[in-house]
Amino acid sequence: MPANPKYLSTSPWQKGSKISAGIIGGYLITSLFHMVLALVLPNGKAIIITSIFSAIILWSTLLIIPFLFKNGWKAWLLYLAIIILLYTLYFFANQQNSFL
Amino acid sequence: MSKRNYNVFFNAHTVSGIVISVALYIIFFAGAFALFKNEIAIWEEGSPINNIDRTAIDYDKIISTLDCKYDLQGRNIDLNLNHNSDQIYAYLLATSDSLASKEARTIHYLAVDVDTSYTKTYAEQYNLGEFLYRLHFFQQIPYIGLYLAGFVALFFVFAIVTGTIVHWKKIIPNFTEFNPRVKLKRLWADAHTSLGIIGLPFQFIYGITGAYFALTLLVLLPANLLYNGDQQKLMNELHPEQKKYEWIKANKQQIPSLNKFVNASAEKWKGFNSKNIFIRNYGGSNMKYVLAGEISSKDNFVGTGRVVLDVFSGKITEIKEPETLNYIEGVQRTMSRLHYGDFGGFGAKIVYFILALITCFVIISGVLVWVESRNKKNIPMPKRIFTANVGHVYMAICLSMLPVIALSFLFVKITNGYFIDKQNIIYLFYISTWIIAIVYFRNLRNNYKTNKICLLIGGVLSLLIPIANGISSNNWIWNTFLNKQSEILLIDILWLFIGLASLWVYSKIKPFKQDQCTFARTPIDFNFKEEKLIQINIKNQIPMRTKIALLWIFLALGWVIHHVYGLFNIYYIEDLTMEGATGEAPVIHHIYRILFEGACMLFGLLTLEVSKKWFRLTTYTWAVIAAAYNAYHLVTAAIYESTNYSELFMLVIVAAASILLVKNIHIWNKSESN
Repeated sequence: MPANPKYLSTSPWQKGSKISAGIIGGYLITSLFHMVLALVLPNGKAIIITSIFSAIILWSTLLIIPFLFKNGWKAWLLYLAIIILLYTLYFFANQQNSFL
Repeated sequence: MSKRNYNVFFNAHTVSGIVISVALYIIFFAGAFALFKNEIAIWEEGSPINNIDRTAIDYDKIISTLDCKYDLQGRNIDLNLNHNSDQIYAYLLATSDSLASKEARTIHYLAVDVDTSYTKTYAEQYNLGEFLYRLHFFQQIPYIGLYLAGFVALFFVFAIVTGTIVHWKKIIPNFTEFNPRVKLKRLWADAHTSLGIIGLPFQFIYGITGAYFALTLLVLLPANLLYNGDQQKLMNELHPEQKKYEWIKANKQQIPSLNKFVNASAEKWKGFNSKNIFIRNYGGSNMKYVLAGEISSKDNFVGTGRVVLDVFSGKITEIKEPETLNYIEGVQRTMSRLHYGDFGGFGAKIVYFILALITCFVIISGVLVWVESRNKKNIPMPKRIFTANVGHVYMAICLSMLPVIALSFLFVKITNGYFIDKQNIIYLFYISTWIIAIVYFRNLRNNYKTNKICLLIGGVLSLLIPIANGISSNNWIWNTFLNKQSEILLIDILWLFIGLASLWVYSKIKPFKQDQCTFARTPIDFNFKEEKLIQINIKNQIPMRTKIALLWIFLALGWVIHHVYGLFNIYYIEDLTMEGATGEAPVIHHIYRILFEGACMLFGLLTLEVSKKWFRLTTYTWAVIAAAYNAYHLVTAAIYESTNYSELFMLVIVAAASILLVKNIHIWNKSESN
């Protein structure tokens, strides 16, 4: 009944990288994603209030995705790339911040 | 799906499930009762309520009473009209008028009687409903409890999604093949999947809304950044009804009537229920009255409306029609409606209650499958013992909640009106009986018996609850039925059903079921490792019992010194007699003294003479409770009295002694039973 251990990663570093990618990386992606959308789309306030449930859904999905990778550091690499991309978008979009 | 992914998801589901299971069970079980938080408060108080229409309350009288006592000048005031009780809640924020009195600078949270304007503090109006509601998100753990609950909710969503992926192919077969007569492990596994799928939408809603409520801080952090850290502006946008205004200056004119405003505003819409009154900048030139409420959920699932009045100019500055939907406010109200189940009267709440208990079953059956499938001959003994232990502890914590909650209901009913500070006494009673139950059932090491005993005691206590209510408040079921006290009646009927259901299930669980579990076929010898465990160093050895007796007396001394700190207040801070003192020490004082110093001295003395098993277990339980209390006290003291250095030092020593005591009694217990 328990999962077949031959498919599971045993190294604590691997486990740690996948979990941390999900929790920390996932949170950063979720936050930046909603911030960019709120800045770019016409009705920013609606995006902010949508985020109170969509952020949880997106974050929990991003918690799962690193487990699809054999190597957790590659998951971190992917997440980092997305974070940098989203942050760049945020940086430019934030030049015209309509919330202030 | 590839074989690898299937196994990875399976493992992710198992591990996340086991890690959050106990916390999640407590959240759902306490949450099921928290749905009836207000009804429990009314039931506990026991006096019939008049269901006074919220527009018929004399708010002017209440406000002037509060003004006399707490000086409202320059404050923001939130009144929660609390729908179905004879109390409303007043939250008085600190004044923003720099010229206001010293009294106006302290924050108060009060329960106000709508007839007499008599006020009670938070600790005085505390009740079991409030306790279970707070337990539902671990607020009893200072600071981190709420976030702990939030992450449990987040990982609950994780477990739901991975679980659905893993069980996807078996969803339909599991329904058609479900058979209560198969082996226990199969039964649990099948029930876990079927009930998990039946409850899926409900559980998903709870995962999402719960994670948002507990992790609001994290979820709204990005929005906060967009507003460049201007939190007040963000809050004004998200909660326009609670909007706060800059203080300009005081206005000495007579303040216009609040009653008139409430009556005129509530009449605007048919079937409008007033829920909150917000008063902004009391006595200021831009003072505002806000009446917020909603129309019945039958007409609109989300139908919030409000009227804002600029008090001194008499102009209505804002109206939100309840029939017009507003996305920003609607989303938030939808989240809370879905979470609190407050949209379909008692019916919807009962359905929520049952679904919450089904979720508890899904959690428990998941843990049991995990325990069962890890007790095989080819698995090394220490691992098997560990798994079995986790199972025993988990079952002890989860299953004992039913009898402990039922007993707490009896306790608050019987002692109603006796204690003034109800918060502390409910904490003390609930947490200590729970710890006693957990230690007992953990040492029983038999999930079958734990289950049977909890159902029997829980069932009998449940049936006693309506009877206790009848004897102590004369609220017999027929009386409350005839007097239309539906809140009180609901709680009694709920317990009646819980009691009957528990006893029915109790009678259905037959001893032969025990033989079906793997622990009957491949039994575990729990004494396995123990020869290695205790190696006594003969040198410098204090005999164990002497050591324990010393530690007990040390603890008693610690508590005596602790009371000396109470005297410090008299030397430096307070008057000689306490506020509200009657010239006589209350009985509860004696009970506290016996529970704290008395019990420690007694155990210290008895340890010198007695070493029977029952005694060791009793002292062990008491030591655990004392340790929990001391650790809790240390944490709260470090937070709230961080400048009381010498007391903190004492508390650290006492907490350390407490932990040593638990450890030593544990070793003593083990060495004696060998």
